[in-house]
Amino acid sequence: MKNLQLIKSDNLSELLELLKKEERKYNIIAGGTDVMVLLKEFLIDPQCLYDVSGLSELKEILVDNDSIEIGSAVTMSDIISDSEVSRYAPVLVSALKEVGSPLIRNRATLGGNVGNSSPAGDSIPALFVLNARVNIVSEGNERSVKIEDFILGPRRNVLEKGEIIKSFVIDKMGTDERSFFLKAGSRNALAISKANLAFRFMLKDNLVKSMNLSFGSVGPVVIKSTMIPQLFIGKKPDPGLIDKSCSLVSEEIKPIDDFRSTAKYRVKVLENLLRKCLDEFC
Amino acid sequence: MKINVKVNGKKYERDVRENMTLLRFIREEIGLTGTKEGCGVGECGACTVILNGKTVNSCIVLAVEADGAVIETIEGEAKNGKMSKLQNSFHEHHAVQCGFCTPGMVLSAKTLLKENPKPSEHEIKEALEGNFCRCTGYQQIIEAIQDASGQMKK
Repeated sequence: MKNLQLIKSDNLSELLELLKKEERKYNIIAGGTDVMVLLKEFLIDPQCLYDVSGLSELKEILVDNDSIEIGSAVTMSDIISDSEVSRYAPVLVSALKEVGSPLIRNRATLGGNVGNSSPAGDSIPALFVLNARVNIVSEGNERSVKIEDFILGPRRNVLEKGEIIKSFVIDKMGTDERSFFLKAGSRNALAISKANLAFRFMLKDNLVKSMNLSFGSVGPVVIKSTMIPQLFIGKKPDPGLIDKSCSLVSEEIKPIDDFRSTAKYRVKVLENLLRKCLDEFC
Repeated sequence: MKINVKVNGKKYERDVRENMTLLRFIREEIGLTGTKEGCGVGECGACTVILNGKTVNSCIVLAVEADGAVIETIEGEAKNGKMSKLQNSFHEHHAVQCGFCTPGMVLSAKTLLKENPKPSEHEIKEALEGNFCRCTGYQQIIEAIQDASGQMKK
């Protein structure tokens, strides 16, 4: 952190042009709630920081007929207080309310949480169940990838040199859909998740019409459940099916023992969190 | 890098190193030492300041990022040597023991009451989630805020 240069612009194309030419080691910074901590703990050692928090193109929330686009530099507080996101993507709002504290959420951004690519990032399972796409921009180029293809491993993602996250496009949930975000941590606020899950489903005529489920903090990346939705789709949920689905949790996740928790605890707690969601069926 | 900020209504222009945190800037460049450093990584809230109307952990904000900003610190609370209503309430309810968390607590409470003048106990707890107190057990702090918002049965 000795000779650090901050490069800030309110013009996206100007910043992208500078970024493309940059030959030094750099990091992108928005609210800084992760980057500053990594810097202070010497976990990253950039020569310069590109500050995207002044780019108005990255700070918009646009609501369309069937999707919502959220700029990467919109703060979590602003997403939480947005009435349309609360209405059409409540699972994202529930997840963001679990991040840090009000002080953190006033600075932290969705782009930062995803760009940091931690397996424990609370917004990521919610983005999974909302079928989010990540819009990436660089000088003269734009591309879009699915959230599950964006993150490659702990703190690794597909962003290449010169690229930044511009926005996220998520599904607008229907009024007949329900969703949950549940998290287990050491305390309510400011505790990184030991395990979390995002769940979205729709019932029609007592049958499960659709179900999206994802687990966080229990593998190198967030895990999208395939077996459990498969088990339920087209069926009437009953206690037997719920028991069976909970027993599938340990087959789908790959938790590890680390300083935050143990693999055994993580499996058990996710089984219980899932049961809590599924009990809503009956 | 040259920055301009307004702290507690007073304008400052300073040339700062780009790796300087806002916390260090406020304490060492401006000389306002009411804002404390606790954990230094955005968890304890001792360094809380109000930046453009929003509470932030100043230990994980760079001073250069605050260029052009309006900042409020605990020193802006009392006017003409008289404590604010909120400060008085903290005093009366013994919401202060060692005092290290108090500047941050008062600023988080101030922001809460500005946005939500009659918060419920749950809303008060949520607003203070990012401010740790290791002395009081929080109860007196919650009562002080309830009283300051005119919700205390006496």
